Amino acid sequence: MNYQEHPDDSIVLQELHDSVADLAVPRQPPLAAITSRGRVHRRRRAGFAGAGVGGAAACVALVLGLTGVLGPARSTDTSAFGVSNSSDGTVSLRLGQLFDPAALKRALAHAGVPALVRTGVYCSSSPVIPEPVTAAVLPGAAWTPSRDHFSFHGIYMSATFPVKPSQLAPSVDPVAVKIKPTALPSGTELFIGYFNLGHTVLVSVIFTGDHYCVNRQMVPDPPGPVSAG
Amino acid sequence: MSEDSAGFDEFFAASWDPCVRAVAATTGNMMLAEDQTAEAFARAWASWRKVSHHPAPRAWVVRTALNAGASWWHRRSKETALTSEDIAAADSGVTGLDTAVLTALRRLPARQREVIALRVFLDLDVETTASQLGIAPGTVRAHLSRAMTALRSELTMAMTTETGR
Repeated sequence: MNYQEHPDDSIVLQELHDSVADLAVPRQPPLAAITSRGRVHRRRRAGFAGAGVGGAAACVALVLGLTGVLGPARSTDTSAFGVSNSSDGTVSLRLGQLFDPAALKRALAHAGVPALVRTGVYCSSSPVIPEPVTAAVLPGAAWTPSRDHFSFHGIYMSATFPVKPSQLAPSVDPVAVKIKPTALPSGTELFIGYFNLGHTVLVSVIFTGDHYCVNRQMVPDPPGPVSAG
Repeated sequence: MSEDSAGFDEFFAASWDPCVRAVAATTGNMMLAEDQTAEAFARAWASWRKVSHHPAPRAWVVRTALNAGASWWHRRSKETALTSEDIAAADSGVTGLDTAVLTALRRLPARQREVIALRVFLDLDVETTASQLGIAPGTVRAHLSRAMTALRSELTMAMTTETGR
């Protein structure tokens, strides 16, 4: 059957063209996000042999992770943050506004929570982790879910410290969250990022070693000592 | 940029907008279109050696994006209970696309929408559209004919309704 053009078709086609031409298109995602995801596809195509090696590595990582979970529970409590294991298997995290990323990462690792902790940088995986961040992070009232426009619509949890932007001083009211390490899918870790411009901390789940990071604006650190944790 | 991906960044920069528009107009959901077009570009990067020699790389991206629908909806359904505000935003439709056109497109069968996406929105010729969809050129013409008949009817009805208010 051949397509016989109807007299009105040019009008309909023009209307279709015009409608699409007027379409507001979202900002192009970072090229790094595309290539990061593309590398996942290339690795998958590498074949079962490669996948076997990767799987073994993942198992090792999982065992190491479990060692952290099953090992002696530790609590860390500083003026900047607190990390403690609970009897129900969750890990309580209390964050003050001025925390040392490296110290927090170490404390979380001791508590069995693999994490990437950064300031002034937002990290995300593409595509997003199949399980939403709220499966592993049990937020308090201060936290809200938001859409991650830097990746392909992942979800992150965010909390804002109760400090006015003009008050460059450490918050006296920390934000708290409970983490369920067993709900972190294999091969993933928490991302915790702090941005002092909006006094905001973000928590999401990313693929370990398969993520990208973008800079976020930071303002000079407020005066006063920064705890080494 | 490695040899395997030489030229991809230019292709990505030049093709993002038209590909997202084609997918959005076909699916009626910009968030879905953005997500799946990005995924399709990632797959294009992974297979760039092949895709760069494709006769219509943008069509490859759009077709791949449209085929990724099922997995997207599967993932989205998992998030629904947790991010209802996001789902509401995702269902809010396509900003800037005429409602009547969007409604008319949504009522077309999937294959007819695919033909419209490639033949009309990407301006591919019938033969290339046919090869992209794995169907005969005559079948493309048939789908296009039926789609245009339905769109004429829908859009005429919409214009009549609007005029009658």
